[in-house]
Amino acid sequence: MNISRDKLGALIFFIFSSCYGYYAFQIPLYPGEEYDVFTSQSMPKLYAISGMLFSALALVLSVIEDFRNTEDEQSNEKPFFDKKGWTQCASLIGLMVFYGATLEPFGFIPATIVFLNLGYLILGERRPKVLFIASVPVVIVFWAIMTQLLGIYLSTGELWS
Amino acid sequence: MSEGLLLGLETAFSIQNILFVIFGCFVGTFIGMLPGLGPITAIALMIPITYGIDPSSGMILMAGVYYGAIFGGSTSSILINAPGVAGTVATSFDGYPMALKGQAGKALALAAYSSFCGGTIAAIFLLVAAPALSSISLSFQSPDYFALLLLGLTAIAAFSGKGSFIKSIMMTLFGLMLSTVGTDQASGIERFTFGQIDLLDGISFLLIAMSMFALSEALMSIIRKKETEDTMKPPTADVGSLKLTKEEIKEVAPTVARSSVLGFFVGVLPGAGATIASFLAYGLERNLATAKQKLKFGKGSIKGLAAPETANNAACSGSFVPLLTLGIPGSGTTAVMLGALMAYGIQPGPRLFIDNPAVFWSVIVSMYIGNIVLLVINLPLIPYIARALTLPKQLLTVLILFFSLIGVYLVSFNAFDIFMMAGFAIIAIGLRLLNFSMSPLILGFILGGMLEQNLRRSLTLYDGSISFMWERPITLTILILTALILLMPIISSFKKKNKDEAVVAEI
Repeated sequence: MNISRDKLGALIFFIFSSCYGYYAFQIPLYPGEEYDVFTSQSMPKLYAISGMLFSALALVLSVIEDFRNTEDEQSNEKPFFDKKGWTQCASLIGLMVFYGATLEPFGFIPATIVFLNLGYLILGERRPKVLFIASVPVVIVFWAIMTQLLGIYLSTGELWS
Repeated sequence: MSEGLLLGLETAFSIQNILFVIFGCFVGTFIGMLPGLGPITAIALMIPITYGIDPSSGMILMAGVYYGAIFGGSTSSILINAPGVAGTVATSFDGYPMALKGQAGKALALAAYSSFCGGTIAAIFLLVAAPALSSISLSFQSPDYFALLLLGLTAIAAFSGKGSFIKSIMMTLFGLMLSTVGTDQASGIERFTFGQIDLLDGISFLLIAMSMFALSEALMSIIRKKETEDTMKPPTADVGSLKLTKEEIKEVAPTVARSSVLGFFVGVLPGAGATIASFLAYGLERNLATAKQKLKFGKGSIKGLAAPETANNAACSGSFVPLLTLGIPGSGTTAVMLGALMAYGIQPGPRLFIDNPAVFWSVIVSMYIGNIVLLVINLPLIPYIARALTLPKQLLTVLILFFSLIGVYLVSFNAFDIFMMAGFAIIAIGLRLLNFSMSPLILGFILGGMLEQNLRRSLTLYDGSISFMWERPITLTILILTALILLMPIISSFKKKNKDEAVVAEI
């Protein structure tokens, strides 16, 4: 069976709502609270049930829609895979995690310069002059505004202090 | 009212706040001009800056960014046929053909004048409507608020989705679910924290806004690179004359007047906003045009450009009415502003008018200043600001990622937030690829806490009974409206189906 984006979205949301619902029932209550009309579980349970209902409805409707449409119409969806773009996107997400991991131990200035340069490199910028101008002065000016002008503390690096 | 207005004038006309409006309009224009980045991203990027200043100035700055972003979106629509904002898609219908004819300057000037007129008329309406609605809504109680919040949530789902009502409802629910993460304010019980200390305070609104809009939009621009590169043509620095003739002004004057009124009222409706207003105004003008004028639509009609431009700006002002008076945002952008206001410790709603008159009135006054700034400063600078479109995208994307990450980090000083942002960015990209709209999600997230609080209070007031839903006339009226909005897409789809069947039968 051909899985369209609509069906896939609805299916994922159904699974998510079910998991959310499972955990909603695990929310602890104070003794005797189970007799109250409204508890900490109430809204999460309501959201979970609504989520499951609406995603099931979306799933059913998209299946009905598929029966109505011809195969040609179904295969009209644009493919959303541009390999190069995806690799760059995934690398940038990885870079963000790396930035989060290095910001405090290495300090704002070195971590950010590395983050910016690696980011530019991932997106195809190779000119050393541009790489330098778009990272070092940007970071220094930003650091100066934050720490010297606005008095906001920026990590100097746990490894060096 | 006059005292409040004077206070607003005093606050908005302080040198610091005028500078904030100018800065906001400028930055907003710059960001709004970049295809794919809209006012929500522009405002989200500004929030960390506004945390360091007082609420009035913060709101003034954000209002300036909002206007600037809409104006910037029009610029990229006209110059390169790549609307930066959904609200300016209709602008490209006639704006871009004008630019192709060598009248880019005229199109930009017309867009700016129309926006100015639309914004001005709407600001006057806002001046009258907001305090009046505030006074009425002072009598509202928790049950009414609960009903109003439900109305806001369903309305945005009905209007904001990319053609899919159920998908928008699902996104609203996702936002509501995210809002339950953390410690329950009323009982102190942990929910969905999975033993993680960093989640005890819940997920920050700024983190969600930045990841779902700024980060994911920047990352999506890489994935969609080919698509946009094919359609984008480099803008030229020479945009031609910015002058309009007397005849042209006479021709568009009635269009501007009609579209201002239409835009404002559409903007007031929760969930409708600038996009719907601009399309409605465009449609209205095309229907009202003579057969000869109709032929010009889509080929560079000045009416076709003036109508959506006026309406989208008027709708921006209109969307502030429910935000300022009821505390319910009329659009995704005002939802982000609502989150920012709440982060300041200010509760928008009817009490805002009484408790924080400086914020209430200065925002209204600053809207007008914003319109003047756009006309006087931004318009002459457009040929230069347009060069931003030629900046290497690889640099801009990484810088947006950096400002988004550091913006959130500077508020919490917790590296865990950066990891969470990466996670939410992945989720947002997935949702965008599956054609889900982000605005209902952010609205659900922001209103989730209030919805729960008001339902809890209502049930306490009525001894655990849900009779408040029909015993209070205001609550009942709002709930009926909500039900109608919920049923509207179903009714219209049935109507469409019947129509289609009738057409097939005729064939």
